[in-house]
Amino acid sequence: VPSDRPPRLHRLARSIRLVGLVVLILVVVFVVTAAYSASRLRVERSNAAGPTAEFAGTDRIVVVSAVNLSNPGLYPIDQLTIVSRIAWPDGTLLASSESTPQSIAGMSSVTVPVRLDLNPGATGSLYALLTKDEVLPVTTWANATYAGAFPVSVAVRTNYSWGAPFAGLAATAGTPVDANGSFQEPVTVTFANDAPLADQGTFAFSLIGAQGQVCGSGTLGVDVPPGSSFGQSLRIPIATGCPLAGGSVMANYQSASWNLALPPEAIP
Amino acid sequence: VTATTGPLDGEANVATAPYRVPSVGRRIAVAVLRLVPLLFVFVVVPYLLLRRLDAIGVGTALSWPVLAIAGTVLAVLSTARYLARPTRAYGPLSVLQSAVGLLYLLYLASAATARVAFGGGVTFTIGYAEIFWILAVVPVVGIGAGLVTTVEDFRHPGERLPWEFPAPRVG
Repeated sequence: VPSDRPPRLHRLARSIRLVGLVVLILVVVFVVTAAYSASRLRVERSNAAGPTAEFAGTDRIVVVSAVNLSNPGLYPIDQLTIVSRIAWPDGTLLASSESTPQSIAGMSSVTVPVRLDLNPGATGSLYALLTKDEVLPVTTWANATYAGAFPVSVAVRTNYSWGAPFAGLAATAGTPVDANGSFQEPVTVTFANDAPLADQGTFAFSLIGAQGQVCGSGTLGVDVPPGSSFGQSLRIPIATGCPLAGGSVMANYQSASWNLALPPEAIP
Repeated sequence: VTATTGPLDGEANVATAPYRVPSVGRRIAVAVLRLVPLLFVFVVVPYLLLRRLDAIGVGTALSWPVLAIAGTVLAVLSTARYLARPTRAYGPLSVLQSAVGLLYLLYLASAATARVAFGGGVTFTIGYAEIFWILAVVPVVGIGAGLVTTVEDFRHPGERLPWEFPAPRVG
């Protein structure tokens, strides 16, 4: 008797092929929707002017930036990590940072902070950053998995123009002058504030004699707005009978959040 | 155009419904017509895609000769499978085509990374191997279906023909 029902094995083979077809259709739908969702992703720096720098503690500079990530699509971004490295112009690593991994659900936005803690360790390096304008190469990597299936990596190489807060700093000692029987040492301080923040603090100077004894001291308050130059002299009284020739001027800059020892300047 | 009805190639007639198998000549004609779009999809499209990606600076690890050879093999196997559909060779050819398809997807998965460099020092890299791993389910399922068909043709020759080549209803 003819039957309209296909044989069992034929039905099985057809069902298996149907499963394959369904998987294929689902994958195609997934890829198309993921591509559309990914095309709507928006990444931008939260501060259009670029990273900002600030002093931290007594011996550190922190470069702060943030990345805004808008994910209006359907699929999440998982394990987003942003790694940044800032180096000296010769490529030597200066500082690096790595954000904690985070996930961004679909149809949401997040701001990922990027904080580069410049703590060079060596006083010379720190001094160079404070007194020399530099172009520092910065490399930032963002790694994430999109839609649970696409590992994505973005690398951005830029140059960060570092403006030194005491660019070209010099504390120059002159020849002692006689002022009504007592001698004074003229010290001239010059620098330019190329940093985006004001230099508000005090220079403290010590005159060190040839034998290492302190022959005098003085202070000079400064309040230099960003983008301005500074040049000022002060006269430091010299203790009677204290030989300065062959000695040096020791200087220290102190502000509310900063304490910087400057290299000694020889006294002629 | 002639057509075969009833049992084919000496196979026992276990069918319970009338069927009409297209003649060999007709199957060859249709197979050749099918081969053209298959070669276009498996060979020409990958070539154009790779060339386009290369033109816009997207680097991939895919090898064009490998894609061309694999695509041609897949298209030819698909054609052979179509030709052999009314015969016992259909099941084994289905298994073979799915196995080659699986190897093809595994190759694509192994090279599924694209890298593009934009101006301003920005480099974008994306991996898409997961898609091919998921897609590999399709040929794996195809191998299963081919095995079932092979068993069916071995145990009950011609059993599936009435449902694969149903005779046109009259009236």
